[in-house]
Amino acid sequence: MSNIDENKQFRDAVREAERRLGYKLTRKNKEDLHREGSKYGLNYHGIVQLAEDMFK
Amino acid sequence: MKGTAIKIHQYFEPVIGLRPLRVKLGLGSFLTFEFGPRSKSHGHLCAPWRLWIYLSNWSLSHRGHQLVDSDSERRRINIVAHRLEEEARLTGVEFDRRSRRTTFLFNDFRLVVSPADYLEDADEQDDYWIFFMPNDQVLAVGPSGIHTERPDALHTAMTGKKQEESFEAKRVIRFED
Repeated sequence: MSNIDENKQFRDAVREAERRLGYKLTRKNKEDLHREGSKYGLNYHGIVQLAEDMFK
Repeated sequence: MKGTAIKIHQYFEPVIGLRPLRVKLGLGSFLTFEFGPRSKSHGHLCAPWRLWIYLSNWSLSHRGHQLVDSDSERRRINIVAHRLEEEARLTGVEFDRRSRRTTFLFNDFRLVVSPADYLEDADEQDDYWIFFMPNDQVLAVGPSGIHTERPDALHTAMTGKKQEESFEAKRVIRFED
C-alpha cells in the first residue's frame, strides 16, 4: 500500500468512526488517534476500533 | 482575505529558531514535528507545539535539491526526518494563498506542503496541516480556508461528549475561488 493509500485509509477510517460515534472528531482527537494508531501501524479496521475505544 | 487576514507566520514565532525535538513519519505520509520540552498531558508525553502534516502532498528539498516527497519510500523519508532533527531549526513559514501552498523553512531545507491531489471530495475536515499550540490553541489550513480554535471550543470534545460549536472560539478565513 502506498503512502497516499494509507492517508486515504486513515481519512476513511476517521469518517467511519465518526459515523459510529455519532459526532465529528476534533483536530485534537484525530491527532491523538493518529499518534496511537501509528504506534501499531493499524489498518482501516484497527483505526476505526481504536477511535471507538478512545472516544466512545 | 478580506480585512481580517490571519498572519500564519505569527503563530509560529514562539518556535522560530528552535530545532524540532522530534520529526516522525506516522501513518502514510503524515509527518509530525514537535517543538519545545515534552511533558505529560492527557496521559502521554507531549510537546507544547506540534505541527502535523496531514492530508496533503509535500516535498522536502535541501539547497534546491529534492530529497523526498510524500510518495517516497518510508525508509528514505525516515532518514531525512532524522537529518532534520539533527541539522535544522525552523527559520520561517511562508503561505501562498493563491496556490494554498505552505513552505516551512528549516535552515537550508524547504518543506513545501500543497493541497492533496488524491482527494476528489476534500472538505473542511481534510486539513493540509495542523499546528497545535499550548493551551489547546489550534491553527489549521485546509480546503475551506484557514482555521483557528481556542480552548473553550475544544473542551466538550476533550471530555468525550459530543462537540458543541462555539462560534466565538473558532474563526475561519475562507479561501475565495
